[in-house]
Amino acid sequence: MTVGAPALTVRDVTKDFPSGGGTLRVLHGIDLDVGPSAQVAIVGPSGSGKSTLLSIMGTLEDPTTGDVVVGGVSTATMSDGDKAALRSRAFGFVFQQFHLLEHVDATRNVELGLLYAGFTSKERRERALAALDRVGLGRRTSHRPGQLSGGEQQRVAVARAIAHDPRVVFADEPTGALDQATGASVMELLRGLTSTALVVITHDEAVAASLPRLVRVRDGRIEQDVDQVVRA
Amino acid sequence: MTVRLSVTDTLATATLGPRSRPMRSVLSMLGVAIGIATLVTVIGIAGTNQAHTRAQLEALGSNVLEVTPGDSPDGPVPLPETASAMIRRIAPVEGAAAIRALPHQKVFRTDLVPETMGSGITVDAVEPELAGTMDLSVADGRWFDDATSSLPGVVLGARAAQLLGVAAVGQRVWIGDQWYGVLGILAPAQLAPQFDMKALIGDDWAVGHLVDPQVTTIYVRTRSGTASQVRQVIPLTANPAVPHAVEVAARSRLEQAQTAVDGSYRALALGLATIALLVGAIGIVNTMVIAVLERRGEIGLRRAVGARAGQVRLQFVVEAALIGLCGGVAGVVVGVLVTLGYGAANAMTPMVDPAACAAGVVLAVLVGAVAGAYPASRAARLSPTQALRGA
Repeated sequence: MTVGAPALTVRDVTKDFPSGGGTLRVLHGIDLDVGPSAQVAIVGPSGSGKSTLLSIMGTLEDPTTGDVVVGGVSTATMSDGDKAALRSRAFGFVFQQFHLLEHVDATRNVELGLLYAGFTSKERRERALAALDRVGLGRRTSHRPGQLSGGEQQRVAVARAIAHDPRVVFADEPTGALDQATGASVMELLRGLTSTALVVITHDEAVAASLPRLVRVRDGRIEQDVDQVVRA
Repeated sequence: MTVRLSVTDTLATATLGPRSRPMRSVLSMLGVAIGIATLVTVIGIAGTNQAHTRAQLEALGSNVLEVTPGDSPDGPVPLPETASAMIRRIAPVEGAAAIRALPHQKVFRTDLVPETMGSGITVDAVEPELAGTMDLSVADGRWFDDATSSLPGVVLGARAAQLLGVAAVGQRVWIGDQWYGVLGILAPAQLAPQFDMKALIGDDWAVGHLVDPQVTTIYVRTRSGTASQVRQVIPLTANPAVPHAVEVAARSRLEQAQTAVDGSYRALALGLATIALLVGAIGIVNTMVIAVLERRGEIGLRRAVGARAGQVRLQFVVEAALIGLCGGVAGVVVGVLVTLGYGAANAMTPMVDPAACAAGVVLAVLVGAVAGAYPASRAARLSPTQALRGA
């Protein structure tokens, strides 16, 4: 399971949303540990709360009760600014829709991931080029998203997510907008990231089966949390 | 552990929006550009018209004041002898000259005409400064100088010379009870046509040889646009002891007309410019609100990679201010060109106001920043999760 201190711990997190006249409880007391090189698939049907869980783990949203502890530090009482700073250094995000800037090239897009983390302009450029190389786009650094295929765009997004050597990479349905084969190669890329923890939200069972740990979520609760043999 | 973006990075981030949508950015800065162009143009055209009108009015004498002795409770108070010299020392005064009307002196061609017959020509004793003050020029002969002012010489107005049949300098005319030599004949006086029918003798001579010649009028010529100021200062300057007994009149109603014209031009300029800028600001607000909606994904992403809410807000405020800046510069350029064109088309000297241009640019930046504040705070308050999912 986990080796060494967890990179991230979810501690008794609940989340309520206002709904109709009252509130709707979307997460019920979630507990989860993610080790420093863990690779976790969080799977569940639509409406199960898995996307909300990812947002809370990534400090993009606050839990109603409970805490997310990152590298031993509690985020429950952190200000917006401190959480932003934490994300800039410790987290990387990959989204289904890529969320690349259309009018700048791949290098600039990757540099965006480093912009708020305090790197100098020179450092940003170096790291961005290195990251693009790592994801196999060393020859595409000046291309704009419009000149790249879907799979290549997602690789740029992965490069952006890892350029600053984060603790955890969160991927929200990373293969959702890609065909089967391309999706598989992106997953292979993600699995190859050895120095970070990886948390992948997916509704695709095949994708879930490719990661060593499976967390199944249903109706806002963890139904199952197992290690599995990977069938890549 | 607060990380601040460098100025370069902040500007680069803020220009991303306009650079990626150049046409829309141009359209949104159009409103401000039109507003500032209007401001600069209206002030420029008003200034050009004003300067032109003022020049015309001054040609007609609106910067000339007439100072006359007034009354006190004890009776009429004469103007002091030093009055015209003191008035000349007021800074914006370009010239002042005292006149002593001599109604009992009559002018004739010879000494044989009976006293009872008039010729309609009046006699004034004048200071040599009169020619410069009232723009009198001599068609033949010379004007008074300090030397001839104390001799029995006369300068005749254009019409007076004709009536007297005096055609050349050097002839004599009979004034009062003695001969005066004709020193000069004036050209018709545009600014002061009353002098066409006058015979003018030297001030120094009159004071020395005629009985009790009081100063009846002092003409004062002021620098363009300063007539009102000088008018207020004259009474105390002319007669410090009894200033309220000094009457100052504008040469005509033209001075008041000019002040009124100045005032209404300025009010018009400011009114139009304010409306135009308001419209420009609304344009920027509109564009930015749409931009924030369209760029929700980008905003969510920036938050995900570590931008603080304040940094997102700053990005959009700076973007809006830059739109304002570009609009302002474009507006100033257009405004200056239109003012130059107006001057050329109307054969007037164009008066471009550099202060208005600078103020226009600054105003445009402020308008942009203020217009961007609301959309920017909406952007900052977006929930990253919803922004990322909704885009």
